[in-house]
Amino acid sequence: MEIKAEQLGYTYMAGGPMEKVALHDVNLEIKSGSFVGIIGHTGSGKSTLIQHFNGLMKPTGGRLLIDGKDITSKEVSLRELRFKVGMVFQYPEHQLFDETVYDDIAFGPKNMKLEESEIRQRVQDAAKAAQVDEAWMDKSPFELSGGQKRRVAIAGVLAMRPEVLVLDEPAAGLDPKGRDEILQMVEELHRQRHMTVILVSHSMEDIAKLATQIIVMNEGTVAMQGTVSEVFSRGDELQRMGLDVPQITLFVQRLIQKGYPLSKDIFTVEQAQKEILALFQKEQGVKPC
Amino acid sequence: MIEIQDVTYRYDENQIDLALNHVSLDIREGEFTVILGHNGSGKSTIAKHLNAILLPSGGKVLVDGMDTMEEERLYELRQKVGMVFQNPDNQIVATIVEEDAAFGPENLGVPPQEIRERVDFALKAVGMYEKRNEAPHNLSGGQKQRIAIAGIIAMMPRYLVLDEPTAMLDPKGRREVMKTLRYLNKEHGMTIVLITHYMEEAAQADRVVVMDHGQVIIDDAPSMTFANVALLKSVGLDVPQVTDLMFRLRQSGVYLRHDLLTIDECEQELEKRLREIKEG
Repeated sequence: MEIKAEQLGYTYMAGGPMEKVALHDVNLEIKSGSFVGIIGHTGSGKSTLIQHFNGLMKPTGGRLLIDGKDITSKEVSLRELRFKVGMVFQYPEHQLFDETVYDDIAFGPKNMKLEESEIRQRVQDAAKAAQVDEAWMDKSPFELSGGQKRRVAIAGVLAMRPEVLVLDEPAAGLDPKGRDEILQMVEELHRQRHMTVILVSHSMEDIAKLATQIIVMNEGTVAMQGTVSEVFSRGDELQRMGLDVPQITLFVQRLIQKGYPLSKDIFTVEQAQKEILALFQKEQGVKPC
Repeated sequence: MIEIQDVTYRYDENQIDLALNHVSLDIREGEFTVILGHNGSGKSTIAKHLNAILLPSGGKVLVDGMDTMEEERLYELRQKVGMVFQNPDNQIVATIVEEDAAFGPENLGVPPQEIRERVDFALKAVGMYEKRNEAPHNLSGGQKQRIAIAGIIAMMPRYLVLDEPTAMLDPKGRREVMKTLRYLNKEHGMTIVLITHYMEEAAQADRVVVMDHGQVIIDDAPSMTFANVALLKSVGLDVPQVTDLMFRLRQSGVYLRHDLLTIDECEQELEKRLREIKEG
């Protein structure tokens, strides 16, 4: 499924005294099967933007096209769109409400009016993908820990078998281990099920590790759009927008400026380790400790 | 000084594991302490003991000599120890930014003129003075969190305890909050206890306390704490990326110092080594 925004704009409380332009002149394209990271400072319009992707918000200007069709046109069923574009909001565990974990995950497919056996199948499948333990199924979701609840909430979205998965800060508030687990799960969904993933994050490190494309939002519009390497090579501009490049990238860029022959496209510690070790080897072999 | 003396805590009578397992820790005045640990390590439980949101199951907590169990002095205690939480939406009470910051001092019966001064100071300290007449619900999460901090600062607590205040902020928001905390600590001598997952924030503290399974496993200066990369990783924590890089290079046989935290320090060290090797 392809998502395209053309001069999209959104104004809150348009015409009123509290009018506020949240988005203006947004042009972007998200190809089917891609993994896109969206970064931007708080208030840059990221959350407003992603809520357009499944029709929760409708543009007050311009258009949002799903597979070439305007979401406000009669051709597009918003109901179906919401099943196709799964949205995981910030702190999704706050949205759990049902008596058991099973019922909570089954809520979406039930709404889709599927057969009981199909629902069961989907719940099991989604639970597995989101690493929800079989033993929790009959428990109340409120008995689980924060990280566990979050996985249940994500399973609830996956059970609708969306083509596109949008996640707004899925790792917020988790510790490094919990964060790695959630992100690894997202990575697997993308790799194994070929889902299109749109990940909103404040962590440049996480985006660098996972995404292939980055959209940078600033002051309500798209400031940059490109590959990870294209975007992170513009560190100064990013910093002026209140963003960053991963620390490791910054570190390598500094060494490059000093004349060391390293690749510009280093975004993870593993890559840096490999390149710098090669540098040491070239400069006369590694000395043992 | 806040003295945590052999404190144990159990959330549930039937639970075998202690959330806090005989913890002793002194928070000295003027210090900037960071508490690290994975979820469930006990770090938030410790924080909640500092102003009597939780009371110890065993042992005691003394704030300037005052036992947190003394119910009749609770008001006094909460005035001394201000607390900021993760989610700003749960902490904002007013419909106008400056009214929200004034809520605390008003409740304390501070004279109007002084409230004005405190509110202005607090909003400037968190960089939200220009937004003082706006409605909090129109602001972003990061801006709201800074207002929540301003609301506590306006009560002029002696100790400021923050439980993952930057978890929802962007890099700029995080930098601003950290700058604000360092400013309050250095210029106003405010004692700060920061609970966080961000290692770059811990690197800026005077002291780092690492919790695991309800116990303190490290209590040291940041450079010494992060030298222990293997231990930190084993308890589910991160180290700054450059520190991790140095650790990995050392493991691969490159001789490098192990107590380096900042990008500048690591750059210098790496260049030094490369030069030495080149010159034989």
